[in-house]
Amino acid sequence: MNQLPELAVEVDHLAKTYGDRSVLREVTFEVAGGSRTVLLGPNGAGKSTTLEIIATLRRPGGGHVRVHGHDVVTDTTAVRRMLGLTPQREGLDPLMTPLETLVFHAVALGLTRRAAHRRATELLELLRLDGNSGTRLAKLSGGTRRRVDLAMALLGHPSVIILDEPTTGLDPLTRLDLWTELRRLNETDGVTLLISTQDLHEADVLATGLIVLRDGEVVADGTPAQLKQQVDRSAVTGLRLEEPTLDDVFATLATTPERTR
Amino acid sequence: MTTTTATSVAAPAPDRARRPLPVLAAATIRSVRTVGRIPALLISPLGMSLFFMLIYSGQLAGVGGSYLGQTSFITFLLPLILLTGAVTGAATAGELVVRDAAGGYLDRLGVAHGSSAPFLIGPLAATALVIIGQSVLTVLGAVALGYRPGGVGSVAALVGLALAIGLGVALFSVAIALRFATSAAVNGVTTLFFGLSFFTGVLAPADQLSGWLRAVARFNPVTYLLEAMRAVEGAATTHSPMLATLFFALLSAGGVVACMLSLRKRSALR
Repeated sequence: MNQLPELAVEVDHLAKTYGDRSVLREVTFEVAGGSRTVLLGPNGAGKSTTLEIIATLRRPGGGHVRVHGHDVVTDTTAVRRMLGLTPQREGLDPLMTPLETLVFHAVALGLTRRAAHRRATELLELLRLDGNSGTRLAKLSGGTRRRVDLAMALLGHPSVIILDEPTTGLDPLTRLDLWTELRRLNETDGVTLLISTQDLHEADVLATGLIVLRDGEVVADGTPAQLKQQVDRSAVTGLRLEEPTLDDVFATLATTPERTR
Repeated sequence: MTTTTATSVAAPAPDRARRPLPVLAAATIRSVRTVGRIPALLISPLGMSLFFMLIYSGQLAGVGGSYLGQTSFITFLLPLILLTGAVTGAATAGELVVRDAAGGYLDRLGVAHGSSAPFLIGPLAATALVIIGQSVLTVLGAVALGYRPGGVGSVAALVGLALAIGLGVALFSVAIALRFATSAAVNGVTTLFFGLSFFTGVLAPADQLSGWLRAVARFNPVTYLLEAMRAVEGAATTHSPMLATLFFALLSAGGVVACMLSLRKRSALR
């Protein structure tokens, strides 16, 4: 068992601009090792950009990002070895089969062909993809392709997996299935999950920690319970009839200027 | 965040070394497999080459004999057909890269391996095989139409020169694929080189052309590449080995520089 630093991800005053447009401003948060941290926010809040910078796909415009103490800019190789990524866009080749996809990706990661095949077979069984291992991805359902995506992220035994809106477009049953799988990975294997979503129910089901982004800034963070406590439901509904939900948290934080950090 | 448990990685990560050759081999095999799964990438250039060879030789073989002297028309025509086939087949590399770049798969592979290079060289290697295969089949088609090669060496030289031209164009198509990630842009590269190949001595020697076309052919680099191919069977009339070598080198070097600039631009946009 490898012991890694307690903090899986540290984001420190992260900034990013595209031309004149500032998409991230002084974003600062930490992700504890072994947690399931959810980045929550509306479209354009900066969730994907933040995740892509952590995943070394984009360069920060300012500030620092470290994964298990390794800087994403100066120690990119070490960071990439610790990360698994399932991007928002399905980054797959539809002409390949799940087995071919996983073996090829594992070889790209540096495994020998034999080790790649062994690891791919393990993951196909783990994610119940073995029945479709020889079918081209183009012929598989969105949920099955998302599982292949997840299997790719797991190939290199990452300690942190980044999932950018992992269940977008999936039917409710497939979503439940994927959530169960993600929880199992986190609770059984100790993998840290950093997930972006706009789906409040998904955040409620998965998150041990929440970070709320709006217009490129962190407007709140804490556990779901803490954030619910901080929101005055009457401010949203005018009536206090029941306990606040994440819908209330989201509605309040996405529309009002106050921060709850 | 509040939770601060130490992370344990359940399964030890295998010792991973970033060895480029196995990755390059895997990328090449994948590209060849993809070409096999998209038959149009293979059939279109070959079909076009054989079609034009059949039509041109059928219509002009008799006429050509009057101005080509000892050289048969099919011997004179074959290098042009191989050249245009190589230029069309070269788009395969760009198409393969577009498929990966447009969907984000190339980025993902680059992150996994630490460099995108093997996933660009793989399509180029597969394209080389495509060009060699279609060139050999084209030569066989020419033999059926009356072409009698000087020997295995001359066929190998013709195919080799077609490959050199094709790979140069393929490098440009990869550069464009990286920059724009669309098939339309990649096809633009083929159209440009394909067009240039017709402003040369297509059906008659370049030095027998007249008027504006003669002037254009004289300054068209493709003229010298085509003449180098024709020189293999002694069918060249304006062959300049020095200019041909220069343009071969410029085509390859230009393609490499274009790829590097596209990668740099792609990186800068992040």
